[in-house]
Amino acid sequence: MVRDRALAAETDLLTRYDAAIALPDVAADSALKARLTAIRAEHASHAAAIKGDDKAGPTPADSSSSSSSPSPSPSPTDAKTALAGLVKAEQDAASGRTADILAADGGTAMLLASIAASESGHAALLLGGAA
Amino acid sequence: MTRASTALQAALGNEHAAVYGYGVLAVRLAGAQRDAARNAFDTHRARRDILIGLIEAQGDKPVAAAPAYAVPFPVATAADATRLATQLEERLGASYADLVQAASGDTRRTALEWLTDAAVRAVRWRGTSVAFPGLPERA
Repeated sequence: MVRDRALAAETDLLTRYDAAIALPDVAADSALKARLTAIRAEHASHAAAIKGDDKAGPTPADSSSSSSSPSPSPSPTDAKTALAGLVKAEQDAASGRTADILAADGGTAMLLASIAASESGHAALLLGGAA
Repeated sequence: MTRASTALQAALGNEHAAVYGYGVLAVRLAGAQRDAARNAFDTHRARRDILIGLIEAQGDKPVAAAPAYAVPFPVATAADATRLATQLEERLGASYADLVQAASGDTRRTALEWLTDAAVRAVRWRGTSVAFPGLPERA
C-alpha cells in the first residue's frame, strides 16, 4: 500500500514533467529543458527504487509501463505556469509522504524520506535563488 | 546502545563538524552566500544543542566536539567554501537518513525534517539536485 501510493505520486510527477518538457517555450530554452529533463530522470530513479527493481543502481528508465493514471489536471501552456505547477507538485509530493514515512518499516521509511527530501530539493532548485 | 541512540550520536558528531566547518568556510563567502552560511551555522548550532538534549534524555553521554576537525581540502576560495558546505550537508543528510531508519515517532519525524533541510541546503550550495539525498550507496 505504502509503495503503491509512493509509486502513484512518482508516476504523476513524471507525467507532469513530460508535459512541461514538451511545451514549445520550454523546448526553446535549452538550459531549462536540461534542468527539467535531469529532474525527470531522478523521478524515474525514485519510481525504480520504489518498485525495488533498481538493484543495479539508478536507471533513468521510462516508467510508461505503469498503469496508474492520475486525474488529468488542466495542462499549463507556458513555461512560467508549468514551473509554478511543478514546484507545487514537488512540495505536495514531499509533504504527502510524511504519514507513510512515520508508519513504515525502517528501510521503507528511509527510502521514502530520501525521496521526499529529493523532491523538496527539486522545488528549491526550480524556485532558484541563492543558497 | 540502541540503533537509534547510535544514530543520534553519529548525527551529533556531524553537527559538531558542521558548526566547525561553517565557521571556517563562511569567511570565504560574500553577500547572500555569506548570509546563507551564517544561517546554516546558527541552525546547526541549534540542532547540536537539541541532539545533546535528546541524547541526555535517554541517559546517554553526548559525544563531545573535537577542538578542531580535519577539513578535507584547503578552503581558500568561495568555490572551496561552497564545496565544503555541500559536503557537510551531504554528511548530515546521511546521518539523518540513518536516524529515520533507526528511530520512530517524534525522533523519526525530526530526522525527516532535518534530512529534508540538509538536502535543500545541499541543492542550493551545489546548484543541482540528487535523486537520493542521504543514501550515498544509491548515488
